[in-house]
Amino acid sequence: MKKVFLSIALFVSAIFTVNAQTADEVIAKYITEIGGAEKWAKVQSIKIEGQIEVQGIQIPFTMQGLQMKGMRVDAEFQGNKIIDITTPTKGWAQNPLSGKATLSPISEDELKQKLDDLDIQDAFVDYKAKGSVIESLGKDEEDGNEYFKIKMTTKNGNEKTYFFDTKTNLIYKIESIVKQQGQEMKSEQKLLDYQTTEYGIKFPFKQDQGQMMMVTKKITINPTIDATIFNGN
Amino acid sequence: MQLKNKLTGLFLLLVFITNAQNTINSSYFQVMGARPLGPSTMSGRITSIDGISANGQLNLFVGTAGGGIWKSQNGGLSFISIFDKYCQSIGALAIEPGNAKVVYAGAGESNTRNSVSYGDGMYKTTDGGNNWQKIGLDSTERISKILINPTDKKTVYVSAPGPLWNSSKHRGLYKTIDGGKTWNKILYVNEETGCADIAMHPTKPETLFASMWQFRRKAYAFSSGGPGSGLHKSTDGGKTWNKITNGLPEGDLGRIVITINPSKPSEVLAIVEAKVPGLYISEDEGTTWKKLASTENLTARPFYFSTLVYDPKDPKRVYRPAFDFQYSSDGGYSWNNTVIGGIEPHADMHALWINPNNPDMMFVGTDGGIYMSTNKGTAWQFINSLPVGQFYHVSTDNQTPYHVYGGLQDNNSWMAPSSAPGGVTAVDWRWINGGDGFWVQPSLLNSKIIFSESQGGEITKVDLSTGLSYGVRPKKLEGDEEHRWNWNTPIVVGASTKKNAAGKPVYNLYTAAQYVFKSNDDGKNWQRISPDLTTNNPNKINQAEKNAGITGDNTSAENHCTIFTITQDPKNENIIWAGTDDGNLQLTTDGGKSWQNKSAGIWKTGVPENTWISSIEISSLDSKRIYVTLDNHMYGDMHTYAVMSSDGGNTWKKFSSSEFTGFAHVIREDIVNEKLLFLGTEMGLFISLDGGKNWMRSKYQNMPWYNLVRDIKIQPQTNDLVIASHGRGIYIIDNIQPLREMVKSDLAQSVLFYPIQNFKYEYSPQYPQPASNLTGWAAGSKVIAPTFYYYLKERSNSGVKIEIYDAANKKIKDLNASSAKGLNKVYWDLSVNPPKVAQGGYIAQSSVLISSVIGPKVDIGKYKIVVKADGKEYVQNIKIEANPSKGLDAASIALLNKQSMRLFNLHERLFTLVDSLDKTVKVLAKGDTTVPVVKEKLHKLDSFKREIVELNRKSIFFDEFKYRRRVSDLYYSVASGLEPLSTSQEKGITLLEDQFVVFQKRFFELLK
Repeated sequence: MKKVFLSIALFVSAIFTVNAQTADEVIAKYITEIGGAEKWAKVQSIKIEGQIEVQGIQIPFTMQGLQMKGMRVDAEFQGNKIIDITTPTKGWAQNPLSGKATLSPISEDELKQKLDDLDIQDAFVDYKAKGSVIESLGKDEEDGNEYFKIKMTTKNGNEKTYFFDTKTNLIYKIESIVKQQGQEMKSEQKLLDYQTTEYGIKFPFKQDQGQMMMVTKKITINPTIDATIFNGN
Repeated sequence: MQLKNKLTGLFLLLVFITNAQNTINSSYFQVMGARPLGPSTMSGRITSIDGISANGQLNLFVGTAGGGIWKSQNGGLSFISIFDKYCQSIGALAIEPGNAKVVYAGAGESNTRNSVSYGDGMYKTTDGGNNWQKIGLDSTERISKILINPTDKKTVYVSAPGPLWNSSKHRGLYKTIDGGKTWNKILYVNEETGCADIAMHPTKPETLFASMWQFRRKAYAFSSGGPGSGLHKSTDGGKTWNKITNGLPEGDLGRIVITINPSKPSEVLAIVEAKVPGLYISEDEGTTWKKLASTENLTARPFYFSTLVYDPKDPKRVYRPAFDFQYSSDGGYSWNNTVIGGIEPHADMHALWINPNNPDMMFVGTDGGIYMSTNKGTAWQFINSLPVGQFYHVSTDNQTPYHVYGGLQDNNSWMAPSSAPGGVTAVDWRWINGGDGFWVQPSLLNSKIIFSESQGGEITKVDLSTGLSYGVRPKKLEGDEEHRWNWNTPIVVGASTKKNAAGKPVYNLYTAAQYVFKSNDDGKNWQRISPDLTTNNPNKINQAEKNAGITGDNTSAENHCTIFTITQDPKNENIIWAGTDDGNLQLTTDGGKSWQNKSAGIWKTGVPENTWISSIEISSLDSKRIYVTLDNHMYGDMHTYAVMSSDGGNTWKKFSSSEFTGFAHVIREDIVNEKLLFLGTEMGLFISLDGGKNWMRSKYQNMPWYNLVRDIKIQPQTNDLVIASHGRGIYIIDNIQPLREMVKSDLAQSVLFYPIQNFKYEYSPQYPQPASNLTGWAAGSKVIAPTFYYYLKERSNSGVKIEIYDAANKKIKDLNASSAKGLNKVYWDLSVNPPKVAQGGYIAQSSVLISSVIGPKVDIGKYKIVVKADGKEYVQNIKIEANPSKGLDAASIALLNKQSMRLFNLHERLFTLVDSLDKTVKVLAKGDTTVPVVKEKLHKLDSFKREIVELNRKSIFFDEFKYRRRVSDLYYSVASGLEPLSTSQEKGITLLEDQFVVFQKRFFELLK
């Protein structure tokens, strides 16, 4: 009888101590849940293949990244090639559907907001060493569930608020602040369908961006990537 | 034994937690999103404005009386709401000096009019308003000002007038020195006296002035002023205080507004409510004071006007936004209110922010929104983008589209269509009567006749066929006592089976003072059908005239012992219920011959006696089922009271829920399913799917979570839920049928695909639309399309697909469907999958690109809809019908479908041809291309392709015309159109088909 009481008491106290969790504890649980810092630190290159689904149309894409060196996304729609390249010093974009017919450099402001994408390891892995600062924004409700909110400001000055699901310890939603001509806009994406890859680390295989869903079909960890693909000149 | 009890308690707690997790919440039907209709053209009460320049942009934060907080990043040209998860009544805002990211917000307005809402403490954001955290002072109910020490930004002062309707310790001046983590009350007088205003010395931030104010409102009286009021000064950051009296009026004071001259801080101005109210100036940092000349426009209604602001740079310029906009150019010695050019700003002003970098530019917050001036307040422009109107009630009619009608606090009576081409915009709203607006009720039989009112029962009949209006309020007749009309007098209609002398059908029009009146001739003649139905308590009558405070304010807002709500049974006009503001719930079953008070049964459920009856709902399915909401907030009791009787009012049951917040205004039972209930309170919309056993707060319906919901209607033809909010205008949740389906279904099932309503061929109308530069803030359009609803018990990670099959069981359409937990909603635009379009060339902004994404519209007939979720299939059928009244008869739809399918097929054949051509080229290119025959063949194939496909685009415009373009242009016009081609135009298709045969022949030749 006493044992039962104890276990119930422990369970109950666990419910109440949830409140006292610090942001770093939330992050630690999350890192463990996605495979652990050790495995993530070994991720030096990545290739993600999938499709963008928008209003019933599927647009295949490939994303290739070399840790802190380059990120490139290629997509094709109706024979039109969409390309997006980011490097630590320069970025290029091509999207014939929005009028950018050839690969051309992006502005410094645009680049600054994309520099964080060069970190192909999770943003929370070793975040302090990467120069990011976090702030706990407490608990909140979203889509009927409860989340911890943590705001991260990276060394590039970009702000994102992450919603950690208190039940799964995984990130469910990211709110990014997009800066444009001195004005700030909130954009959000929901991370769905977390799956463990062969490498033992967990990725969301779906990113819901409202009008657009990015669906991952295949992830290759540490493939060989030719660095010349990141040259947009 | 004790241990066992404890265990039982713990077990119950665990059960509760488990249950709570299984109980559905409103996120389960977030697809039932509301369309906000506005208006923005008539906005609502603004309580606070603060601004700061950041990154080259002028950021403005605007707090409202009942519509939350809005932010602009472009100097007021556009706004977004940033406080939708929290209390919507805002008293004060303050941006941390020099930091646009940190903003403090105090909930609870301090302009203590009769209809004022209340708040729940302090909030703070550190990211410019995207995320907020609650930081205390939860019980203050009202916050008037927040000041931040510019040299020590963690030090913040908050003045809290505190609760309006009851005594309370939760008022006074509060201070934090750690950015809001902990608070100290640093100035307090007594439970009746709060802190109305504070001012901080611009260079010595430890020097503070605070005005304390004794005040109290009752349901039937308001008192401002008393021995607790006074002006206090501290020079040590609030550790010690001195009461200032030297030169100020003697005797009891009321509300005092105070401001320090930033360019010359020894100069301080104050407007003091006293027996003889006045404007006072001190030239020695507040030690001694002298009276300046002032008019009523400067000093009137101190409880409502508490703003006095110096120009940030000009020591002589002072502003007093109050009943009108007063400005002084000589330090307050003389005042002017002349407006030259632009428009006169709305009367009744509560907030002013002057741009410190350009003091010519300012924003004033009024009872009707925000106005901007760029010439020091002498000319104004209205900011038409803040939909924060404060409705009291909403009505609908039976037109197509139906109209909504309602009255706005201080802002007239209005009507607007429920939908309009391009969405309902500011210019769709029409003004139909003046004054404060409350009930606006169209006649049951003639949509051109509309009844509206201004405060105190001044009922007006508006005849839209002539554009004229007439006062029709019942007159006092022999035997009547002086009529007592509520501030918000009911105007109600009910169906009648009777006919008038001319043999024409009539309807019942009701209104009420302490008596109920009925008219059968549009308000020309009234019949009194009740005795005084109130308690007629002399202690609660005419108290505003016997004002106990220092200055009076009699606007009919305190009229009491009146009838506040009337409801007639929709099926039996002899059954009428009336509820009074002093707690009588009266029923007649004989059309008013006799009345009985049914409220005793309600008090037995635990609702305090004499609580204001705020609404009565008779079930349209069972006359014996009655719902009543009650509102006791004027006695300091904010609880949500809603009760139900199943036996015609003899016995009552009180609804309860841990979700409830805010005093209750209205309850509605669905007109089809009695288990579906809607409850509106001062802090939220609550929905029950089980007849009131469990309630959930509406959080995910695109409305503020703590929306001030004053009225709810269900429009019977469309099954739309129409919501009147007191701070965010009107909202419509289109067609609540899926909620009825949810009520009926077993939500433990993993997937449910609900029956689909058949659909009459129709599209949203496009025109006429107002000029886009006139619309201001615009509501979303109503979507007109077949709609599929399905329920998922859990979010599907593998995704949901929808397939549509025609009568021959051929798949015609794939839809990517949402995979959310709970109810999902997918529209079908009546199209089939798009054709395959020949590839090649740069096709942005062209009919070629559009051809590849739009499919032809289907013919009328039966279609099978298959939802594929988690490896299983769920099937429903839909019938698509012709709609001759919209010009969409069966023959023309069939012809349109046939023509677009011909072009669809042409596209696909062209695709195949070009695809084979490309493949041939690929194969040839792999071989030896120097061989002359191969070289020539490649050349010929290339020239041939250039004849059919646009490969030579030269500009941003799609400037080439080849065969693919011609097919695409015609396909686009037919597939996106609603009218088939005429016989002569149709020949264009035949020509393209003939040309294709020629191309095909030539291609085969080339391949040889």
